[in-house]
Amino acid sequence: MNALFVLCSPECFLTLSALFLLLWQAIAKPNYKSVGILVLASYLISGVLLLPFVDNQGIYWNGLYVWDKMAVLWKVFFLITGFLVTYLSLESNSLITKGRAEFYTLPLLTTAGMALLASVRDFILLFVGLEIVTVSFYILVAFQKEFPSALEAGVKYLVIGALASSFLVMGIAFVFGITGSTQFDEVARFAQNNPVSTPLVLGLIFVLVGLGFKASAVPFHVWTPDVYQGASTPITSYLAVGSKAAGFVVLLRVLNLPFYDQSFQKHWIPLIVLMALLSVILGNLAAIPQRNIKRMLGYSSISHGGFLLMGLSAHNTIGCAAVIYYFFAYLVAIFAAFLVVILLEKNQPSGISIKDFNGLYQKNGLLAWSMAFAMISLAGLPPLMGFFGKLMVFLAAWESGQHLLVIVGALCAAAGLYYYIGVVRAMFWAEPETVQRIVLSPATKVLLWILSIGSILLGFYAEPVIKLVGAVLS
Amino acid sequence: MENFFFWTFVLTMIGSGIGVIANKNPVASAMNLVLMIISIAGLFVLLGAYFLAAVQVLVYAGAVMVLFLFIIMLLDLKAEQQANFRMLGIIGGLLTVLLLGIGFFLAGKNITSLVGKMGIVIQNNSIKALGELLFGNYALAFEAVGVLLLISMIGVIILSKKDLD
Repeated sequence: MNALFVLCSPECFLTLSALFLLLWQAIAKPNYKSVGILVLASYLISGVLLLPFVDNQGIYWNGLYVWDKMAVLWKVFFLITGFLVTYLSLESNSLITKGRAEFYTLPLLTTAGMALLASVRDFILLFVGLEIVTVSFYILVAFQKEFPSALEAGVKYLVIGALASSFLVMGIAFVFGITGSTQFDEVARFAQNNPVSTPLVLGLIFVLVGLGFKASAVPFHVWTPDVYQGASTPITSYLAVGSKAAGFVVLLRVLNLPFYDQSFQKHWIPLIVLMALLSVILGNLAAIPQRNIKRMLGYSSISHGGFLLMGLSAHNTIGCAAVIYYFFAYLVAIFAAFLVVILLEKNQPSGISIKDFNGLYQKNGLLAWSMAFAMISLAGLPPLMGFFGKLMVFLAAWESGQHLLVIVGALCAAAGLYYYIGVVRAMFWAEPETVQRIVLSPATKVLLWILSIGSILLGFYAEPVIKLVGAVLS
Repeated sequence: MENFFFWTFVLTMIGSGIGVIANKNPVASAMNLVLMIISIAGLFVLLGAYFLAAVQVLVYAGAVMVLFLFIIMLLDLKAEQQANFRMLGIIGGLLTVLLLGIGFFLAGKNITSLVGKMGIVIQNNSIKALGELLFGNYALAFEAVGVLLLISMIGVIILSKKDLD
């Protein structure tokens, strides 16, 4: 492990650039917009710095940190997420009035924490990384402290998040107490050579509870709708994609190494199946009556968590590849949807309901089409990316024998069509109250085009992408 | 003798733990929490983890709880004292305690393996061993904690400062 490698890893580079930007804005008091642009640049540079180390492979830092293809893939995912979040924050700058520079800089540290989680190989580092992500989200959620709804969301997230963290720590303590180690390989080795005892299973359950909170899986979902609605829109998109992905990358790591042993699998597979089942049912059904778009997307994110858990329950390579592909589809669709929401919010800061999408097609065609593609992709209709994500998750779960889960999942996905198509219907067939053209900046136009075309192209050419992901995993 | 101290600390801990949630006066709750933290420190002493016991008293009972009390007294929480316990909350709490209790009981049956492993950890539990672990094996996690503390510091400033620019 050389110094260059450490410096170029996203976690280190992003932390350093965040430190630099914090000091710079404290001393030189620059224009907040230039801070935002520098944050965007840091994500890009960090992505470029990754390139020489793509083929690296190994376990570093005394077994705490692993660098493999999957870690690189997730780091890229988190860098894209961070980049888009900052772009959305810049786009919605009229809504955040105070401390804007910090509002752009904090996500750098959050993304660093997520990148750290992508290559975690020890329970201690797992906990610290997850806390970095969660604590920075407490702050980001409550950032618009002049709105009571944001403060309420922040407090709710803090209380439930702290409870989830305590479960996670308790679980880790049990695992450590029995196996005598927090390192993933050591735990896996212990499980191979010794019978799995009750305390170890209790540890596993507690760890799943803690991670279920991050993945907002039912029954650990109660915070989701309120927090999604109360937080400012860029942060909601960050929660929906980044925070959920952080939970799932840890689940992928934990379930595929320390808890991979057969004797563990017979305990966690039923739990994951149960969580997936409840999430798809509750998420899809509860989203139907929602009128506020952010709340609706909150419930939709619960249901997507369920579909992703379905991929995990398959406990094979196809399932894991499906989860990763699904996440990229989800990222593209969610950011397109939230970018549209932010652009609409500019005229109506009090919050956007489905009604406000009425006749969007007449106001701006590109916005309406982007939102339509996002909704259709989230609903899982062919030929968009979301369809292939769902298809693969279903296939993986079916192959591993979870037939009931797949049938319920397919039915719930069909029920979910109703509320996604409701938005599309409002945009194209409902009459608007006022026809006022919405003007977009060139950069936003380009981004909307990229997201829309991406979700179509990667849907049509899903096969090479899935093969690539599969190659990464094997 | 050790048994006697163990049960004293454990019973004090449980009693004061109930006191924290059952008391309507926030100051009394906080004082109960202090008592609970001190009894946990007592358990650490019995386990031979002297450093942890000292840190527990210094940091939690000393620093954190003083801050707690300070804020409670500044806020003057009158409304809290009049609020009644909700039935649903009590039932939910008891159910959670029951479920966790069953889990811990089942886990406790295999306590022998726990003790064996813990013994190894405690043998190394001098401050020197702790420092070697923190700056050697777990150096990366230690650095990450530094970032975590920085984030919380920024957060406190953002959320509490009135005239943020």
